[in-house]
Amino acid sequence: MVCTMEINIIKERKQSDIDDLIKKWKKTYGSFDSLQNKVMISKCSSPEEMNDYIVWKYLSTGADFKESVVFESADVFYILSPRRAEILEYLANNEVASIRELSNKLRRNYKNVYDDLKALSKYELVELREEGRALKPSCSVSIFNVNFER
Amino acid sequence: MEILKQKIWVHKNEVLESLTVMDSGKVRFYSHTYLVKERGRGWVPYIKWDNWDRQPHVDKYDSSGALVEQRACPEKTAEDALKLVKIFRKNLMTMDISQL
Repeated sequence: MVCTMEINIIKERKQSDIDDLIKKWKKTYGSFDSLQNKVMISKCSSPEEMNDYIVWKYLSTGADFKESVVFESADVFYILSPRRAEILEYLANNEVASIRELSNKLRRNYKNVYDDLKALSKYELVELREEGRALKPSCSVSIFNVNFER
Repeated sequence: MEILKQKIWVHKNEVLESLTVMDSGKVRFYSHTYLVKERGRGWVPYIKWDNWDRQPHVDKYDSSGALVEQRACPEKTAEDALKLVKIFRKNLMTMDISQL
């Protein structure tokens, strides 16, 4: 009998996250039209540009945006130490302006919190946004499912 | 209209990035890209299934991430693409993509 495990993380995007995404694309591509021109010429050459174009196009028509991160193996548990899970839980319930503020709230060393956030952001479990000179951490994870199927 | 973006970690440093746009229960657009993180070069696409211009096809990229081959193929869901990636992930760079 084969037993498979899958970890499915559902992310909930707020309007402010979508606004940030569009701001990031404007910075990268200039405008929607310039991205469109680029994609029409290059077609399938750049999967990232094509996906950004499609998401931008449908977001501007008011489409709902759902995101999920799936782990086909138990690798995620290497990333999720109790301290990192505490960060996720704190950020899911509270807003902080900077990593410094988060480390103060959690009464932890700044460097350790920074390292944990970097590890979590690698797997897109947290977002680190530049705000002025600070990096603002946030967590858009709304559901964390572990499915174990026989 | 609904956009579903999925990042599926197949293995350490290997992901399937899937984007599906649904309209009233029908798939309007899909793109499923298998990427591998190469040392010093970031994420490199290996294979992509999509229906750009409403033409379902599969794209193959070389080790530098440049598009080298394109073949028509039946529509694929993220689950279909994931199954193929899991079976062929070690051979995707060298195999004949008409088999996909």
